[in-house]
Amino acid sequence: MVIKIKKDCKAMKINEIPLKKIERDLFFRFSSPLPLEALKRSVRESGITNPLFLVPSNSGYRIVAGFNRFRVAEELKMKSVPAWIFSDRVPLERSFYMAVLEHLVCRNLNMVEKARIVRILKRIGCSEEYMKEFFLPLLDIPENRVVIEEIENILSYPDSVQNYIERYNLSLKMSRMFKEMSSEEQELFIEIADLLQIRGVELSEIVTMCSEVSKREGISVQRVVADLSLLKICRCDEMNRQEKIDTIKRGLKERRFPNLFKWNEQLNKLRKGMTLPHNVELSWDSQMERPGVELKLRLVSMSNYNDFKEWISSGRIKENLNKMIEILAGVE
Amino acid sequence: MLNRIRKIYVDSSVVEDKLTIRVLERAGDLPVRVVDKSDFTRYLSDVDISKGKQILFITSTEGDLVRPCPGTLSPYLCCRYTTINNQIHCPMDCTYCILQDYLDRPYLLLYTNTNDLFKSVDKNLMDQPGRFFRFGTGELTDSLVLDSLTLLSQDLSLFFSTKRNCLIEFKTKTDCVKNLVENPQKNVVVSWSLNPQSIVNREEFFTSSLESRLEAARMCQERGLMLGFHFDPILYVPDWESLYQSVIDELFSRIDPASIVWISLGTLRYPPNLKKVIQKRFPKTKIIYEEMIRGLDGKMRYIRPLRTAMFRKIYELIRGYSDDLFVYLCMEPPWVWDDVMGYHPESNEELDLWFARSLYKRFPRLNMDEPAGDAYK
Repeated sequence: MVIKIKKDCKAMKINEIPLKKIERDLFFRFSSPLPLEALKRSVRESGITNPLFLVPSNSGYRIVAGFNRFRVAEELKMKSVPAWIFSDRVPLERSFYMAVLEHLVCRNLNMVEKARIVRILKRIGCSEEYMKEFFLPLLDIPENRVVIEEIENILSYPDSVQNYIERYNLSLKMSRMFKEMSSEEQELFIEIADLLQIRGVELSEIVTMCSEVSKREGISVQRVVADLSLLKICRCDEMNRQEKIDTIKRGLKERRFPNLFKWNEQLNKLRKGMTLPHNVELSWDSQMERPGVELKLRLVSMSNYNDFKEWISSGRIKENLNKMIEILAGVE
Repeated sequence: MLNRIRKIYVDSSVVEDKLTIRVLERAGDLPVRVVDKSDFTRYLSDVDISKGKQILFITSTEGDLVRPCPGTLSPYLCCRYTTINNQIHCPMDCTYCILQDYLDRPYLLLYTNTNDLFKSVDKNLMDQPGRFFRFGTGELTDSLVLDSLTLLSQDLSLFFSTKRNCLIEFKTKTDCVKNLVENPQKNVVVSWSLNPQSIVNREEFFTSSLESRLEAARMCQERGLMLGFHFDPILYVPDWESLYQSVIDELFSRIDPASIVWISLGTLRYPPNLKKVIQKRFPKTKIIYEEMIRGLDGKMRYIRPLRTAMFRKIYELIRGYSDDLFVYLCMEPPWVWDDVMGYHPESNEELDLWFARSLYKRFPRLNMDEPAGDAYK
């Protein structure tokens, strides 16, 4: 098969094709439109150095690769463009394969582009075998029908979600956070992501927490977002971006793990009230799996020891330590 | 439960085996196909688990059918149980079942080389002569769910009745005790995993009702069989206190504590990867959304104070019915034992010894050697 492709390439010739003979047809377009200024400048100075890929159609030609070059040519009012013409004997999937290959020379594909390619292949009736042999390795997609369907399903998400996936180049794994959501929920989280300017990992953390709280409490995700005033926090002018993210995560944690949160808050408060000497560290297992506190003392001189002794024998410290141990015993 | 099996495949190399013939004789109208083992494994490796649970593959294995229970990592204490894995996977479908993630094959396996299993049990007994062994078939399957097909409970009971210093436990969520009560043998424990009926309805699909399980236990008791009960997994649900109280009251209204060899307590725990499987297979279940942490062994479990509260309550309820019944915690650290019972075993070996001592004291009919600490080190 590979040899055939080489032959197909050899058989192609570059032709100068009048623009009016090329259909404005986006069927094979899989990459998102880009700003054209740089390309326009280049074409104005040097012309189109990289020919378009065209296939014959009833009324002229269809573009397989070179949509941006075509747009620039139109905007610059060029009469014709250079193009490789695939013979109509070459199967469409083969022409398309070469278009994808050409694209990959310039840059990698994001998940939305991969989804578009999968959809195009299905629409042109590409066989599973051909897809397996040529496209899947090229797109780095495993030979698994479920995964392929999952990728194609990305195109059913609202534009805002697709834009987000493209903008932050989300992996399939990360894109899955949108899978179980209604379109309202998807839009809601994209709004949060946009307001906070957060990437996939942080958004996924917020999404997971919201969804788990909603399942735990038997309420909708929208209700969780409203209860915790997440949008209000996102829009708050008095906090910077990081403060907003921290406040949101804290609120979610409190709601998702109410007891753990409460106990850790109490422990933190008690520790704060103890004004630790600089050479003493006091910690505990925040997951509460291990009982007790851990005291670490660094002795550099005997005066450190005396300071520690004085500190630990104070009534308030003993009282606070005792309270901490009781909380960490976890037996109410 | 048997009617969940839709098809039986038989490895061509075990067609003539005694167990195969027995199963096929009892399989009624179930379609049976003889296959080459490697073809079958390849063909069915990516079958969906729900479909796999309806397929039984009869074959043999060169692997060891008797193994120490993998338990979990320190500091969590385990009881040094010994598992018999001649049947793998389960046609019942509990939301929390670890096998969904643990096993790499989605279908039910039945190994026909029972004699190898017996040899392996003998080897274990010979290698550690002073130790009392608790064997069980319920680690990677339900011990009795296919028993009407396999009659394996009879083979195993008869084999163990000739042995000293060991017993076999059949752990189940069914009421399939016919073969055991018809011909009760010594050294046999039949045990049930118990949960309130509302939890059975929501989380333990295709299992017997609580009522049927307890009724089956009563029948076994009548026939002089030893009984065990496992409150595992205990689930944190609204009204858990009253729900578990009802189960315990119901249990002791039918069963004499003197016939119970042990009761285990264990709260829900699972490897993190299981969460996704549960979410996918049982989207309605809420059990994974409680306050859980990743324990010191890497498994997800309820936060300790929650576990302690549940253990304490259930332990007190059991103690209300019996002072000397052997109650143990499954996969808990020493400090949880202390909070619940006021003491803890120093090691897995010591816990194993405690089992033996309790059995020696409470079940003289086992005719076992008096447990000596040295044999458990």
